[in-house]
Amino acid sequence: MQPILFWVVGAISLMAGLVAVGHARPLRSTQGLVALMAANLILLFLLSTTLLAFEMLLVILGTMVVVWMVLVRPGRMKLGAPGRRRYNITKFLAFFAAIWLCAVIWWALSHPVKPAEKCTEGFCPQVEFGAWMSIFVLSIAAVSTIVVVSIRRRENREEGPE
Amino acid sequence: MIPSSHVLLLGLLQFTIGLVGLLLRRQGMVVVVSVVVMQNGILLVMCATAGGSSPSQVEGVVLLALAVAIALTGAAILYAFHRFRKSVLIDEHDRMKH
Repeated sequence: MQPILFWVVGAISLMAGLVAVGHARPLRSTQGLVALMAANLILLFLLSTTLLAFEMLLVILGTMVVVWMVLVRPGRMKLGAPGRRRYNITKFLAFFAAIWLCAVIWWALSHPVKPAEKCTEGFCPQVEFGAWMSIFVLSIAAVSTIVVVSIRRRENREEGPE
Repeated sequence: MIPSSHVLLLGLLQFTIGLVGLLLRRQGMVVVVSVVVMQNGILLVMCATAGGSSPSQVEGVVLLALAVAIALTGAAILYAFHRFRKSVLIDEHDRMKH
């Protein structure tokens, strides 16, 4: 099970690396790098290096914040657009998505992943728990982001050009 | 248990992808991203050779911090270049050569 999961995630990381290196737009390139690091996070859990995995998680979060604040937010989100309602559905959705993500991360951290030193072959439950947990958290983060951004884009389309 | 050879192979592939991007691309941001991709490959190789021991994980943390520092420094230099010449293509920034 572990080698299969390793190569599936490894293939994703290689594809993300190709996107990061080969895409013409720097924004897509940076997003490819974030995807590569997310795949490497799962690989680090599979390799039982939990300290490195959590460090990688911090780096991913920092990169996402920088990319979001510097590149995505000014162009796509139009947060300071004049005439926008102060309280709208996107803000509430983003708020609850952030609370939900914090709860999931807290739940994941309350289940410590120990290195499976004696696990030589077959199913290693503790190691695979960390890997599946990181896949779960990253999937929830991706789905929440897609939902919030798509709703905000629809709002932008409905409001029309400024 | 994942064999070390698999991890080494994957790390080598990531390193190669980053090296190709470093040598072939002109876009400054992509060059910085390529360096980080290479360092991710090195991190995987380090994990494969160390076998999950604690001192090697600390070395990995240092390597990761170094990767972030390099990326931020590269982005800052690119920003300065962009303000100076309105371009981020690295072959247009050759003032140090003359």
